[in-house]
Amino acid sequence: MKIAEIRRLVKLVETSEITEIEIEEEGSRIKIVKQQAMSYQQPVQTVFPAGFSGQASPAVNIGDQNTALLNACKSAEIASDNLTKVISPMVGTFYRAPSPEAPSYVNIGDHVNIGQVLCIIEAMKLMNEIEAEVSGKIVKIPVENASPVEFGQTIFEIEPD
Amino acid sequence: MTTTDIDFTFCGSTLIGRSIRSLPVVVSTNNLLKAEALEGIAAEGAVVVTDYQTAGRGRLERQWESPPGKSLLFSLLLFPGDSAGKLQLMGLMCSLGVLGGLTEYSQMTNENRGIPIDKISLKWPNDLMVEKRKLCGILSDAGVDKKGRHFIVVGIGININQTFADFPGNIKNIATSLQLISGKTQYRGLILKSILRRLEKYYQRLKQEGFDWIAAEWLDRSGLLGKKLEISDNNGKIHGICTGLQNDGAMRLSLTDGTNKTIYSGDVI
Repeated sequence: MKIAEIRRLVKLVETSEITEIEIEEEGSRIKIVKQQAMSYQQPVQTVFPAGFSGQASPAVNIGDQNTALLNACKSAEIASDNLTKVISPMVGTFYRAPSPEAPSYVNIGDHVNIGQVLCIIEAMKLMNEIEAEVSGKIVKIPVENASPVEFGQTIFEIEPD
Repeated sequence: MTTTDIDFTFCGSTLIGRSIRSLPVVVSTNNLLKAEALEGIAAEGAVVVTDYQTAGRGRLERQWESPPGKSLLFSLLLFPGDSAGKLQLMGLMCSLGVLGGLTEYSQMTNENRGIPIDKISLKWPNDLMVEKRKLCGILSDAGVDKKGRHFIVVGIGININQTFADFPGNIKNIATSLQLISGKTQYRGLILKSILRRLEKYYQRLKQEGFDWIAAEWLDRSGLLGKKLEISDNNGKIHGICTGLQNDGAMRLSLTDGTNKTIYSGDVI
């Protein structure tokens, strides 16, 4: 599923009476839940591959609800800080530099412009350069270099200009 | 440095290779075509072929060593559309295309090419090997152009007329060429055309049927199902038995400790 499509779905949930939507297609599943009891309108996004058993069960218990609430609070913090998440568009390996010897594309504290390359995600010798979609300051890189990343995983947080 | 054995006349395809540019030297055919794609100045199916790359590269920026004029080095630009996380299958498709093109070339009846096609095997995800020596490597770059179109530049390097003396010391024992396995000088231009024609057929099928046939066809041709494999990734080496490929091309392994693992990146040793 493309990032633009995910954004469209988030917008749909935000602006409609829908409180929850879950879609599965071609090996990926996305679930978007709007927490009505909270004082903000930011929906919670949970994106994970269909085969990830920890999230795939449709049954909801108290623990899951707590987790959802925790996620909601985290998202709210992010929303209140006005940070933009950059998420991985594919499963693969996250590289902060074009080669092991080369300097990182970006570091925490760097200012980036729209279109600037942030990292490479490699899967099966396909090198996918991930570019900034907003200009701003890199405030968090929650993934280690050369680590596996999942579809939809946050790989950068940017404080927009 | 010469390109005399590459004939750049029309190769018979309507898309892939309808525009073939030959450059004696480039930094990297992938870098050139990707830059043009980002700017929106290269058409789908464009092919750039060169005699020598000053910075040809493989996975993790490993250098692709190629004496001038001995290899077939080219890149092609495609716009396969929204691939929903399956764009990496293009590399597998192209390895099938190279193998199919080499097969067609080897069977041209005007001359016995002497190429033992049955000795050429596929190595996950998209290398061609002959008895554990590398014959062909493929590396792809993905991007989005100014119009928001998803594109892929597939870079293909095939060792054609190298002798062992042409390979640097560090790869002498892990590389081979068509000349080495056939004992004959081969024709890069004819090989290029055969491969481009085969790639066009595969690409047309992809446009009609989508991506889902690629992994199954690749697995069938590779003969890897049920084979013991050793895969090196950033966390070390993994041993297991290949239990298949996912629809997105990822390798499924049954590990020696009884667990299963899905591999998206790594080198099969």
